Amino acid sequence: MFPLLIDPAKTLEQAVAFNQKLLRGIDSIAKIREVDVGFSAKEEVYREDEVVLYHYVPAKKRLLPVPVLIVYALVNRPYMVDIEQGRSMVQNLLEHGVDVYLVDWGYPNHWEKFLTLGDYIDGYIDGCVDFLRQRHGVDSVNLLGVCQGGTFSLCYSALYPDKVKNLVTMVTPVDFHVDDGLLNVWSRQLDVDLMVDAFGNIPGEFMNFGFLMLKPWQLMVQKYLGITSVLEDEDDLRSFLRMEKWIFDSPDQAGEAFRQFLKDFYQGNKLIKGEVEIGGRRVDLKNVTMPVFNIYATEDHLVPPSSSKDLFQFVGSRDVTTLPFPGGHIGIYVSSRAQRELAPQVAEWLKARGN
Amino acid sequence: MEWTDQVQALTRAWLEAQQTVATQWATAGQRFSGTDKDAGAAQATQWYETAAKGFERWLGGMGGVQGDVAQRLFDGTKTYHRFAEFIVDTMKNLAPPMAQGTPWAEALQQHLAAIQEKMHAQPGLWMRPEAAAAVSADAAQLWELYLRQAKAMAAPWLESVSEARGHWGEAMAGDHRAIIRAADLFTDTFESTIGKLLGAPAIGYSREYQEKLVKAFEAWVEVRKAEAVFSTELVNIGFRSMQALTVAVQEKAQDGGKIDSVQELFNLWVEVAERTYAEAARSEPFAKSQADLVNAAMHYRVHERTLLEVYQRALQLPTRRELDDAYKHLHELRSQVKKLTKQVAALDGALREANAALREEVGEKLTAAEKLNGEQDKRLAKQLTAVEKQAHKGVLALEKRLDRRLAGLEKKLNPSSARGTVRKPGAAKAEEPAGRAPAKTPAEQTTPTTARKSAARARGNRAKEG
Repeated sequence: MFPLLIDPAKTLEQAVAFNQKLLRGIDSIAKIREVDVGFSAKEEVYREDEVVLYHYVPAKKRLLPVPVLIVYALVNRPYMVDIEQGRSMVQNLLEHGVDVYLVDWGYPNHWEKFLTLGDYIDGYIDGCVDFLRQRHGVDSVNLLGVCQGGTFSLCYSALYPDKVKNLVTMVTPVDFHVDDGLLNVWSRQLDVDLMVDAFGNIPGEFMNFGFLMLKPWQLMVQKYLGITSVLEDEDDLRSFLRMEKWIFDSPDQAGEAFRQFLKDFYQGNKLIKGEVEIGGRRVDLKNVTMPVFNIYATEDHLVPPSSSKDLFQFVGSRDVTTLPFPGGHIGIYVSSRAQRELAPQVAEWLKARGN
Repeated sequence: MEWTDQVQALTRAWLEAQQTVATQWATAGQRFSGTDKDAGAAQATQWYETAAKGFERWLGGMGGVQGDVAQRLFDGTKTYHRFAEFIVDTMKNLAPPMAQGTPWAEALQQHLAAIQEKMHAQPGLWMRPEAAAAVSADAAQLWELYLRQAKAMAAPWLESVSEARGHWGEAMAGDHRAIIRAADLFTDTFESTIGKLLGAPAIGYSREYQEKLVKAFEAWVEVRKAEAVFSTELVNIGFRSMQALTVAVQEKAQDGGKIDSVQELFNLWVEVAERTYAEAARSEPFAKSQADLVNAAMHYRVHERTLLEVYQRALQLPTRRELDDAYKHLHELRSQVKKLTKQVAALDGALREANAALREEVGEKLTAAEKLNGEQDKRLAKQLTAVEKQAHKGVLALEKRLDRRLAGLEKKLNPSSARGTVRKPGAAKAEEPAGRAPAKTPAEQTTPTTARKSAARARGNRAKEG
């Protein structure tokens, strides 16, 4: 039997209903004048160039003694970890007595195109860590690295093992020569030198287009058709707009840092070979001897599990906990399950390790 | 007009447009059997195209995340309607062969194969004109298309010197802006004789610009060629997706399932298309064609910048290269400043530590010395007290002896009166033998206090000597 029983009249009715809903939704969008992001109260405590270190106002009087520094990726903005009330990893950590700091990389200007990975890792992260050590009177702090920020945290921990008490890595690429990640495959044949020469700083829009091309139908079409069902609920609509703001709020990438990250990590896979050099020093993952909590998302299309999960094989630490978490690259921060389970697990893991 | 009024007015206009065209489509739907070839399903999206233009103008003023999201909603809807159009058109084409007894799956395959053949034969139907021209190596058309783009790129610079019309003499006299006009003239000539000049060596005053322009043009053509290859990859993925969709629909039919809405079919299409795309996108040919396109685009961008620099130099504006040099210098200086600041801080810290250590060490020694001095003082005082006591005893014994001697002398001198005389201690002083130092009274002897003072003086002298 011919299975397509699409009735034109019925289709027309559906189309009209859909378009009416769409128009009402757009009317609702127009009424929202500002899309606010970032929920938890925070204060600037340290600044170096355009990089700012924020301290989140603690939710509890009794805090774990060693602070946690969240190191986010250079792509996209770090407010994803605190995007709104009820969907905030920061909020959940604070409620578990964790003293949370976050490094905000800002938006690199044209004149910052020569910033290297050394400037970021050996400079800015080290500056933030030293500031926290002094502020809290401790020898070492906890690092929580997210995505590319996780890779940076690994490098930092290998270079300065005495300054890192515990390391948490979330959806962090480690092995870059895996074939189930499109970014991994696509990046291998790019002429990165030419790209940096042509662009200077790599435009955020260019990066974003690459991310959308990973799932073009879902991310560019289906998502917007599906959202019409929630457009009439203001809270849902605001949540949707916050996510949209985050997705397309893509800072440019400092050219030199991008060049090194693509060539040494994506193309050369030098991190696990122990061949990456930061600030003139070799990064040896065997120096990562502090406890490590590695969390990866089982449905991650940006950083496939195969790229993250084997971190324990490469580090020198004898205390490595690996946690596969159900969901995608973003869901690990904003899903309701993540709100219930992830931050408590991180806090408990830290407490169990002398915090 | 208020913001919401504008929205409502546009909404009404849009819905009215939709209603009008929907009526036409409904009429077409009533005739939906493939017999009415003029009732194209394209009408289904006509209302969208008409009304969306007004909306897009309005969206342009919305701005921010809201405007962007509204635009994406429209784009998504547009794609959906195009899909609906394609499906309705496909069903209309399937009706005649199905009426003649051809199985629907076979009829669908034939229809898709016919579309594929047509698209391969006529890439101009789906490729951008530039890419199609690059594939057919139509140099004249390519040049025309390129020039349109290059002029748009250079327009702001040309406008800025439009008032400074001149001739070659100006260039010879040092007016660098004249080179732009020369370049413009050259471009016009080049355009009219494209077929002849493409392979010709660069000549004349504008030789440098001519070379750059030709190189940029060649790079631009490479971009269009790469674009054509990549577009073909995407279109082929589209065909494979359609074939996969056919299979998925067949499987659904075999299970007794049915699809009764475009939405349901669209969702199935997205699922199938995304899976097909992911498989293809992971392949070597796709990765290569995509990288070739990006690399070619970057290569052209470098040439485009080189051309722009001609204008910038002529206008005495800083070029990208010059700015980059400055940025690099700035970065190096900033790094040096940071390094030095760090070193100064480290030295300062080391100095503070050394000072603190020194203070601690000296403090300890001082405390020890003071403690030692205190002990010495006590010992000395004790010794002095003992000496004092002994001396006092000695004095007393001496006085007794003297008394006895005096008494003996008195007795010798005056035996009768001496008896019973008692000698007062003080009286002995005047009777001390000459040349002998008088014995000190206890009060005159060295006390512990004076001993400490003298010890302190001695320490002070030692310290000075030290």
